[in-house]
Amino acid sequence: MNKPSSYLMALVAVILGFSELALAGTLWYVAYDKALRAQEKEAWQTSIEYLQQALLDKPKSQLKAKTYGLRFVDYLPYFYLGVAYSRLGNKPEALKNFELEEQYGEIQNASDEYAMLLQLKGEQKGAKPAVTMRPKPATTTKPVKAKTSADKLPWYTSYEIGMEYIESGDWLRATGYLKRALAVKDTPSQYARTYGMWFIAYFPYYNLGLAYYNQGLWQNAVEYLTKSDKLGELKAMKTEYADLQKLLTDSRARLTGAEQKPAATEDVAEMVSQEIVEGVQLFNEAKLAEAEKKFKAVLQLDPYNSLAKSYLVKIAAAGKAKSTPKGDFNAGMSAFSRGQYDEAIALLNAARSAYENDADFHAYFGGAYAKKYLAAGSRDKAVYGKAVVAFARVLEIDAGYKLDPRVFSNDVIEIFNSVTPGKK
Amino acid sequence: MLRSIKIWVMTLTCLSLIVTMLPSPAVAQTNTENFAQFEFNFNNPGARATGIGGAFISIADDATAAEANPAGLTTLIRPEISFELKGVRYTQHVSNFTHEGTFLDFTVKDRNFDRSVISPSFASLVYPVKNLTFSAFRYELVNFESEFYTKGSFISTLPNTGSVALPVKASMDLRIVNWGGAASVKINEKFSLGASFGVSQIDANSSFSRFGLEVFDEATVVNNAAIDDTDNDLFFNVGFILKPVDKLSIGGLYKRRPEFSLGHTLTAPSTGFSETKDINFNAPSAFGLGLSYRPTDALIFSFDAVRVNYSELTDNFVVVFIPDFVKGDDYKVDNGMEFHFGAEYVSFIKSVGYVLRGGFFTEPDNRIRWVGQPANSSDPDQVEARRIQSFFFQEGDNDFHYTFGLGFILMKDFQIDLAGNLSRGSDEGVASVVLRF
Repeated sequence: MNKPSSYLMALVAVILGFSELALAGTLWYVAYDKALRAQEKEAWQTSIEYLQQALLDKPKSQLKAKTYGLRFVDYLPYFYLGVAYSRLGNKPEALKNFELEEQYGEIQNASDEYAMLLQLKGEQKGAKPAVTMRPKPATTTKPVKAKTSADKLPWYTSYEIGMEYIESGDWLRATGYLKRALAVKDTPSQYARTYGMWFIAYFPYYNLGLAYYNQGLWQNAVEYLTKSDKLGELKAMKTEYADLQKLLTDSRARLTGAEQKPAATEDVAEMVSQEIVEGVQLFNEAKLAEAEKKFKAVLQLDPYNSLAKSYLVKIAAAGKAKSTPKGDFNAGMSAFSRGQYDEAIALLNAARSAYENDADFHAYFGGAYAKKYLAAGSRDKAVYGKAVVAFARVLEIDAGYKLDPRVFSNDVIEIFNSVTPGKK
Repeated sequence: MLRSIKIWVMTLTCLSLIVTMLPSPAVAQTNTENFAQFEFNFNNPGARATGIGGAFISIADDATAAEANPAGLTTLIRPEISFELKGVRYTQHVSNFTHEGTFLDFTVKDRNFDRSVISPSFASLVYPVKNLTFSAFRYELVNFESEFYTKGSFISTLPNTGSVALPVKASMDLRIVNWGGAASVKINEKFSLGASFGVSQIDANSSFSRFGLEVFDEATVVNNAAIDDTDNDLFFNVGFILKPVDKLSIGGLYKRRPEFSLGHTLTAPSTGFSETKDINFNAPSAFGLGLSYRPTDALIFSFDAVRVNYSELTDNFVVVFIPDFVKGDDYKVDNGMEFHFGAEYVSFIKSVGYVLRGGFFTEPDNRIRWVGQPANSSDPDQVEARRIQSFFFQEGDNDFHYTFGLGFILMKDFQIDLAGNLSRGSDEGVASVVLRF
C-alpha cells in the first residue's frame, strides 16, 4: 500500500503558510486593521490598544495610506480613538482625539467619517452650544473603495451588517456598510443571490436613502431615494414603495426648506442651547416623546444642528425598535454600552417578554439597574433590588453564568457575584 | 467426433466472459473478474451538483465543496451542514446466462441482473473563521453491490475451441468511504485555495464460484475466487477558485484517490489447491478545470472538463489466473476525459425558491483491455490462453449520463434538492439537504 504522507505534509505546510501569510505581521496597518475589527465587535478597550500600537509606528493620519502591495487604507487613528473613548464614556479623551484628527486635516475629505466625527463630537460636548457645521454630503459618484478590513467582506455580508444597523437605528454605521455593498453590487433585486442557494432582498438605494434621511442628510437622501424610485427597487412591494414615496417627498421638501432657511445666528444659539439641555435631560429620563419635541424645536431654529439630529435618530431608533423585541434588545445593549442606563432599562423592558429565558438579556437588564443604582447619589434600594432580581434570574437560567468583564464594570460584577448562591 | 474440451479453457472462458459481458466500467486490477463490475462514484456530492451534470468545480459554493472543490468553502460566511442520501440501481448484463439447443446447434441466452443500493452517501459540516474555512466530511466514493449467477452455456464466440462456460455464482459488496477534513483560505477577493485530506477505508467482500453442475453447493464447486478484506489509505484533494469578474468563476481541482491492497484467495477444492495473493486496488486520480457563468442571479451555466487517470488501474497489475501465460503488461486502460455540462434556474413564488436543473456528462470507456501480442510459442495451451484473453478483454463503449433535478429553498436557510442521473450502466437518485446557521 502506498502512503503518500510526504505529499500531505507538504500540502499542510502550504496551507499553513498561506494562513500565516494572511494573518501575520505587527506593522501599523496590521494593528490598525485589528483595531477596526475590534470596533466592529464593540471591543472598545481592545481597539484603543491596537490604535495606540499603530500610532507608535505611524503617528500621522493619512487618507489612502499604502499598506502592502497595492492596498491602501484611510488611516484615521485619532478619529477611531475618539470613537472608542466616546463609547467608553471618556469624554475628554474622545474630544481630544477628535480635535487632533481634525487638526491633521485629512478626515475632512472622508465624508462619512467626518459626519460621524461631528456628530460624536457634538454628543461629547453635551450642553455646550450646538455645533452648527454642516457635514459634507457624501459623494455617490465614486463609491468608497477598499478602505478598511470590512471592505474585504463580500457585498452580501456588508449589506446584512448594514441592515442590522438599520434595524438598530445606527444610521451612520449602516451607511458605511450599505455603501460598501453598493460599491460591489449596484443592481438591486428582490431575490439577489449571495452564494450557494441563498438569496436576500437587496435594496441598497432605498436603505441608503433611509439611512441618510435619518441622519438629516437630505441631499444624499434625495439622491438615493430618487435612484431607488427610478430603478423600481420596491415596486413589487406596496408598503415599502409607499414609504419610499413619502420619504422622497419629505426629503425634497426638507432639502428645499433647508436651503432657503438661514443658518442659526448668534441670537438663537442660546435658545438652541437651552432646548438641547432640556432635551438631553428628558431623553436621559426616558421621556422620549417630550425629548423629541425639544429636539424638533431645535431643528426649527437650527436645521443643521447635528446634536439634535443624532438624538432624534436615537429616539426614532428606540421607537422603531419597540416594534421588535430583537430591536429593543439590541438598542438596549447599545444604550447600556453608551452609559444610557434609563434608556437601556426602558428598551430592555420592552423586549422582556421575548427574552424571559435568555441569561444574556437578564445580565444586561440587571447590569443597567446596577449601574443606575451605583450612579445615583442616594443609592436607591428599590433600584438595587431590581438589579438583584434580574441577576438572580440569570443564575436561575444558567447557574454557571459569569459577567463579561469587558462589558460590565467591576462594581456591577461585584453585585452580580453577591447574588451567586455559593458566594452569599 | 466431438471436439476435445479443455477444462482450463472452460474456466478461463468463463472468467473472461463475465468480465466482458458487463456494461459498466471494468475496474479490475487483476485478471480476475471480482472487481470487474462496479462503478466508482466520481460525481460530486449533493443533488444540486448531480442535477447540473456534476459540473460543480467552479461553483462549489455550499457545504459539499469539501469534496467538490475545497477552495469554494471560502464563499461560505456562515456554518452549514449538508447531508445526502443516494440510491443507485446497477444493471448487470450477463450475456451467457444459458443456452438453448445442442452443442452443434445452439443459441446463447442473456439476462440482466439488477441490484439497488441506498445509503447516506455524503455528510459535511462547514465552519468559517475569518479568512479561513474548515470542514469535516464523510463521503462514499464507492458503494457497490452485485449478485448474479449463470446456468452455464456453450460459447459461440470462439470458433473451433469447443469451449463451455461452467455455471457461476457471484456476489460482491464493496464500499469505500472517505473520512476527511478540509480547509480553505481566501488569498484575496478573487482567489481562493483549498485542500481536503483524510483517510479512505475500503471494505471488500466478494465471492466468485464456478460449479461443475448447475447445483450451487459446496460439492459441485470447481474453484472459487474470494476477497474478504479491509484496508486504509490516505487521499487528498487540492483546488482553487478564481473569480475574475462577478459573473464568472474558474475552478481547478486535483484529486489524489486512494490505493489499497487486498488479500485475494483462489481455491480449487477438488485438487486441494489454495493460493492467497495481495492484489492492488487503485482508485484513479483526476484533474479537472471548470468554468461557470452567471448571466443573472437566477441562472447559472457550468462546464467542467476532467481528466481521469484510468491508466492507474493497471499500475502494479497482478495476474492471478494463468500467470505462466500472461503478464500484467498485457492489460491496459487509457486515461480519459469527462465533459460535464449543466444549468440551473431559480424562480421565487412568494418566499419559496423553486430550482430547475439539467445537465449531462460523458464517461469515457475505462474497461481494461488486452494489449498483449499473440503467443510466440509452440505450446498450444499458451497460444489458446492468450487468444482467449485477447478476445474477451476488449475495449468497451463510452457512456453518456443525463441528469436533471429540482430544488426548493425554504425559510431562507434550508435547501432541499432532488436529482436523477440516468445512464446505460446505472440509474441514480439523489436527495440532499443543506442547512445554514
